[in-house]
Amino acid sequence: MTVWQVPGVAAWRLRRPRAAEWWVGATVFGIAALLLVPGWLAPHDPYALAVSERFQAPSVAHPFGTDDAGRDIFSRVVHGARYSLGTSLIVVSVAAVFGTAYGAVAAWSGGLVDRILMRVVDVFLAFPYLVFAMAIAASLGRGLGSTLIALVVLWWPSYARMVRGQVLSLLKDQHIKAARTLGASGGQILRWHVVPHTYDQVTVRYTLDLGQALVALTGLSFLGLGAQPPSPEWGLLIADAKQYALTAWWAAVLPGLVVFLVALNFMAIGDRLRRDGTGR
Amino acid sequence: MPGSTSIRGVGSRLVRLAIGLGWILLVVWIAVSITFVLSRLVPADPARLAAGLDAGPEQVAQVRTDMGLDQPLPVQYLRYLGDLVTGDLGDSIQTRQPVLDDLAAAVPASLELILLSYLGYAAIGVLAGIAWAYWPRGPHTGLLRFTGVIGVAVPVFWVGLLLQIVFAGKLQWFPVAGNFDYGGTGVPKVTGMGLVDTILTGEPGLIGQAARTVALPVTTLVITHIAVTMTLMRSSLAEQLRRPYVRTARARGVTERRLVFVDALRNSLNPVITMLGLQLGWSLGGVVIIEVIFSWPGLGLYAYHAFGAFDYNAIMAITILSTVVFVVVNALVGTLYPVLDPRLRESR
Amino acid sequence: MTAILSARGLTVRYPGARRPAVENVSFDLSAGSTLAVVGESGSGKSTIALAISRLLDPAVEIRADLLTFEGRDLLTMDRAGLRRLRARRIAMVFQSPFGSWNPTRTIGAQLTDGLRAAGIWPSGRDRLLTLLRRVGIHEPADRLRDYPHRFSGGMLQRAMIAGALVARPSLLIADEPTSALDTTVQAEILDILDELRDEHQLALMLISHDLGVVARVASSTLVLYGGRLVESGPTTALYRNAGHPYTRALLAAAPRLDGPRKVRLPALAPGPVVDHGCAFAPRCPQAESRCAETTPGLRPVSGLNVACHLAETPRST
Repeated sequence: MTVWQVPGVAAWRLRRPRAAEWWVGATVFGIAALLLVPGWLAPHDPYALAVSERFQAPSVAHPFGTDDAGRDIFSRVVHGARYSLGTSLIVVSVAAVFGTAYGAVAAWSGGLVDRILMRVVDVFLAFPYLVFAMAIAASLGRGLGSTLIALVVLWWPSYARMVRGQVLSLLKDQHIKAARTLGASGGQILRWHVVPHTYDQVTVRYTLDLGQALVALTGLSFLGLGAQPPSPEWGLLIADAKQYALTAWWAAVLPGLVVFLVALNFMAIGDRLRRDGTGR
Repeated sequence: MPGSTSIRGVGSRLVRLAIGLGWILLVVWIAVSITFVLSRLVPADPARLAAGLDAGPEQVAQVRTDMGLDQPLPVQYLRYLGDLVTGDLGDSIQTRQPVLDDLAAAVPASLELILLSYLGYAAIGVLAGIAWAYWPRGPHTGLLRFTGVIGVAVPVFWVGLLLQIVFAGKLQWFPVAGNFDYGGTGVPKVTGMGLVDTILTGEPGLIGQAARTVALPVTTLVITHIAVTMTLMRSSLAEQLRRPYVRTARARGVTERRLVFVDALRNSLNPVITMLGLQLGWSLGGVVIIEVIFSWPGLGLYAYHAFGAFDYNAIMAITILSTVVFVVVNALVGTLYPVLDPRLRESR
Repeated sequence: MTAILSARGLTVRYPGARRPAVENVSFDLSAGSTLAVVGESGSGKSTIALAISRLLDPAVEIRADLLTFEGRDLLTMDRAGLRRLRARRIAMVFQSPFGSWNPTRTIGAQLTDGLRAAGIWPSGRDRLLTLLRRVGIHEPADRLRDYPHRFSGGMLQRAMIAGALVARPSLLIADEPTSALDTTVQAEILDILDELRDEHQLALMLISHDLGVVARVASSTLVLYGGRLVESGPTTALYRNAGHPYTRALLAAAPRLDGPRKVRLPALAPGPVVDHGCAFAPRCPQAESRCAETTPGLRPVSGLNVACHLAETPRST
């Protein structure tokens, strides 16, 4: 099955203008490069200590300067992408897949099952993420793993709710009834006829969430909840740099700028996708 | 025939009120229980931590008995619930004081940040959104859209650090950290909120000082929250202005300004109020990063230290507190919907 | 009888559209008479109504050799002047009763807006109540305090009509006022409109896709197709002697009480956009080659104005 046969992709391609495609392509390429081959992109070893070179301002040799242990910050940022970006990707992907399935099943089941499932969603949505993440990290131990769990747990309900709403209105559609009379089972109908129609909205949400999850994750790491030293995860980098931020500003500001720009990229793409979708 | 004054109407309203309260209690109870479960899953030994790392075995055993950790789980759970109801949140490992006291001391500081920033981004965001919808074409549109997209993506910690470095560190217009200095200035602590208390003294110099102290944290919060409100307000209002009833009002000769403010606005507030409610509910979690950056002694900083020191009671208390706040705020917001939309008022 | 509303060569174009929504339409409407504007969806009839009261989006281009109301030029009037006209002289009634009212404000509050805009509040309150009673709303003072969802569609339209007439306008434009209503209610609303027109000597412009509606109340009729005027004239003459194939097809295709329909219009999606020649040619059963080449102009034929090449020659059937 080629990528064009995945429901929604072909339609997507027909509608999007060239510029957006280039942009998305470049983003995907960039992320892949950062995740898979950071070593090629980073000029220095992110873990190499060089005390004689600490606190150097940005220069050609060290585009982002060096930190308190003489490590090249740019290389650390490049290597840190795996942790920050990678984890956010996992979080949002898992949340999206699970949430979509959950919401579709709830809408399809209808009645009491639907209401119970949605009540569960409401309960989950009632928890403020930061404190909850703290609590989970406090018990399961700190680290990217527990933060990942905490974020997934807190992120999936919004997909469930969104997809359920969409599926509910889609189920009133005629051709679903047609597929039913032809003998397709509930699961098949859901998978091939109904859920693909939610892909548009889910994709927009997914893209936007990639940006937001990145910000949330780095924020949690900043507070000490996520990645642990000496990982070059972006939030952690900035937390370390906080102490000497007033003297060596580049150590905190530049990685933060990277977080901002990457998140902004995702959100801008998502915003563009949404506007293309609604035609406004 | 108005339904709200009949016996049936009053009865059903009470029922709905009861259900609402029940829902709140349910969510709180779930949060509390999850917190309990988490606290017991911990690999480390809470008794040992509470007793201190240099305590001997008998002392640890004594602490364990005091904390009731030698009892079976269900008993612990009931004791835990009981303590909560009576307001006993345990003692903080770090401060060696009742957590409740710690929280009470920290609340006003956070409240100051939350209230001031909320006022800022709610008011400015709503007004900007209305203005944008009212004048959809013009040179300002690009800027607003730009702000809208940027504002949602910008990380709180980055803005805070940036502001701190530039305006406090380099330019020295504002203090780098800390809240208002009560001790040094001798201002009486009435509310615990620097700006309010200095306003009460009426001395411009002190008020200015308090304002400068609170400026950077509040500005950071406003910048990072305003985009969502503004964009939502604008899209909601713009959508209402496309509705047929607006065209009808225009055909009656109603002025554009009246159309927007009297007719369309109230119908567009629903999603905005929901969002503002959510933001207020989240605000407790949101101030943590700010308080850490600016060393502001509120609940956020307290939580941060508690977490760092593995101070269970404190962590659990904060979890419960913020969940309760969130749920209550949203429930209150829920009561506003019928005020806006008469169709929701009547009982079926 | 002088015309209250006159248009010559009215053309309306939406931004980015290939063809104008309304093209070169001319008509006169006098006090005390009813002019019906008939056409299918997309024919431009609602656009004419909105163009007259200048309720279209400012980006929409409106041009005409003449567009006057009570002697005043509508095209050059400023916004404040237009608003005053809408409040006092030109009244409109719209199609969807439920969408046309703000669900969160009482009927009274919304109607009062109109009276305030016209400068007759609270002086016009009694007149409003009288009109509400006249259109069949009982206990109007109480009902004014109700919200729109408490009313039926028919009642909402009646209230809208009453509200429209309080300020004593001279022109009432009704854009498909009955399309969203049951047939029985439709007849009542139309009768009310007709009676009020007579009582207040209004100029009434009635827009509809339904010929039955038109026949009941209109003294003259315009038939629109593809934004262009294809036939116009006294309604009775139109019914007996329609010159344009489209009009004839409409008449024949209308549901009748005395038997099955004689003709069905060829079922097509809204016709292809035609750049030159007659707009109806692609669907016309009698089209000739010249129909696609040159646009027919409006010519008088047996008491009617018809835009059809074939109408100039005597018909064989």
